[in-house]
Amino acid sequence: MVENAALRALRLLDLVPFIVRNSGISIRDLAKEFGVSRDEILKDLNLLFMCGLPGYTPLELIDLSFDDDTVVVRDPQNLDAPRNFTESEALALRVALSALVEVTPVGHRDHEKIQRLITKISSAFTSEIPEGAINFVADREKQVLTPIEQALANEQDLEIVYLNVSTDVSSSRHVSPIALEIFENRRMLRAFCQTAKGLRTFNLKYILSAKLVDRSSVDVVCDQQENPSIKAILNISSTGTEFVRGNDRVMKKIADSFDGNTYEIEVFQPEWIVRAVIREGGEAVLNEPTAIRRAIADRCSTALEQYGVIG
Amino acid sequence: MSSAKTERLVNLTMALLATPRYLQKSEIFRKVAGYTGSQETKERMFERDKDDLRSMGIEIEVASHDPLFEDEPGYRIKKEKFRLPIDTFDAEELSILSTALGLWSESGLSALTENTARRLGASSDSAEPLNSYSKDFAFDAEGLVELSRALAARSSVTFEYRKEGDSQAELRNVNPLGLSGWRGSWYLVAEDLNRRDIRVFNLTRVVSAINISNKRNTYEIPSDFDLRDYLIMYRKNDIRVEALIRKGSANEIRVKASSISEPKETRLQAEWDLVTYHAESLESALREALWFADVLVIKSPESLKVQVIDSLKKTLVQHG
Repeated sequence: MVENAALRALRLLDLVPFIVRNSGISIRDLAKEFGVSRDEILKDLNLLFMCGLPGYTPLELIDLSFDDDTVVVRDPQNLDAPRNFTESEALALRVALSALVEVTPVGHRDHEKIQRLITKISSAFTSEIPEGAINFVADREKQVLTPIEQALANEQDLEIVYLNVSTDVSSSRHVSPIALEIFENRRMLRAFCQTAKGLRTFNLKYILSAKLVDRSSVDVVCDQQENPSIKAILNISSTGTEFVRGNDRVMKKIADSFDGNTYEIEVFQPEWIVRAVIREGGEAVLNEPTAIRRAIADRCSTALEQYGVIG
Repeated sequence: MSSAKTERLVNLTMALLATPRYLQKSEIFRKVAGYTGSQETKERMFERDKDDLRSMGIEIEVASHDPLFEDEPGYRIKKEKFRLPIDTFDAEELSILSTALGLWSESGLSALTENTARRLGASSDSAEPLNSYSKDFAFDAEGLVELSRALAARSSVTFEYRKEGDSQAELRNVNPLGLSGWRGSWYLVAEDLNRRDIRVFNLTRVVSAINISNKRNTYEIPSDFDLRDYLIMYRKNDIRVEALIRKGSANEIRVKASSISEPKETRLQAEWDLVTYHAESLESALREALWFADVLVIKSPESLKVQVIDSLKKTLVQHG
């Protein structure tokens, strides 16, 4: 069969540099690496004895020697280096690497390494398929959803890396999942956080990774107490609807006027309200408490200074 | 007996690889072991051998021997194209390669990628897998393997496709241009040969087997082709933002960054990274930039930078 002869020829071409690199390998390991039987490898090696460069004297033939335990190539002729990628292989590798870098969180040590390898490979290989023809975007939520669902079904715990968007810090936490909830298009995990010793809600979007672990011996205590909250008074202009829509669960209108409304809002993290007010770009003004009001002004001057110095 | 052919193919490859100049057919028949029989037989053998080597991805170059004379063409295999251009990968790189190629292990491409891994020295036996998150997904989408093969060979494909909202499937004949994995679904961007237009196909809506044409290299993909121009997920008003971000902060932005590099200015390099990322709109880019105002400085677009500064000034006055 023609196809078999060609595929076998390819295996022979690959065998020589492989043995060069793994000099002394056994017939058994060689057969395993190439996914063929011991007999086939023996036939291949015997055929390689006959192959070489034009002239075909002992000087030009591939020179190898073998017994069961060791195969050695004495002279590979011009088959000393591994064969290049085919276009199919290069494509398969590119798709796989672009997917791998996508599912590795930016900032994780592997992310940069994968990125560097992609550059290394793409600068060494010229491809007919341009950069823009391949891309991969992972469904991050789906990736963490699987272990979460398993944990809920099997009453296991999870070790998650969670990004706190307000404080901008990611931390590793051990949690006992209680339920998955959907809240305004956001998927949330309610869980007892063993690390913080309290009930917490996590937005799936910010769970960077989730790993199943055995349920810890610590009891899931329904300790509702979170950080004590503070009350803030906010003026929201009539055009600042974005803020109200995002936070209507925790705010209460206490006065309204022609150019906006005054709200009382329950704040759990001062850092959050500072950022949230600045994000409104002038549509939200915090009147009380004064300490936070000052923090907002300070944050704005620092930011403006940065723009002045390096922006 | 097929081992004669195998032997001849290996000898032909080695001879074409060894020659510094192009070898004419007559020289090949004279010098390379295995070409026997009548002239016609030898010619037929050689044509088939050449096709076999090419179909396995070995590039054979053809050139006229002497540009001044219309004589028979010559053949050779370029060493630098035949050999792997990188021969050293460190242990970490090998484990990345092994993990990446392993993503195909459940698919019809597994034999191919195992072969790749072995040549790289990154087979699952010899390289440590990356300890990671990648275990939860694999390339097992129906049709992905066939389309990758077709794209690599630049061969057209035909398949039955059922458009959203249609009850009937239709036969499509297309030239694949690009593949996009988007949040768990795969999309093919291809030139539809009957509609003479570039179309997007969701692989889950392909309802038949995918037939790959035997003809290779029948079209070219423009080097500036970008499938993001055709996918609605990358909306037109999507804007590209360039910003300086203080090291170790604004992780929410870093997570979606398309590149993170060193700023050009040496004095900034110790504390800042230059990050490019995409935002859905100018409005959402502004809100993001304000949220991270203490650790993020917009470089471009200029209009966004101006708006950030104006907003900060306004908020400062209101709270001063």
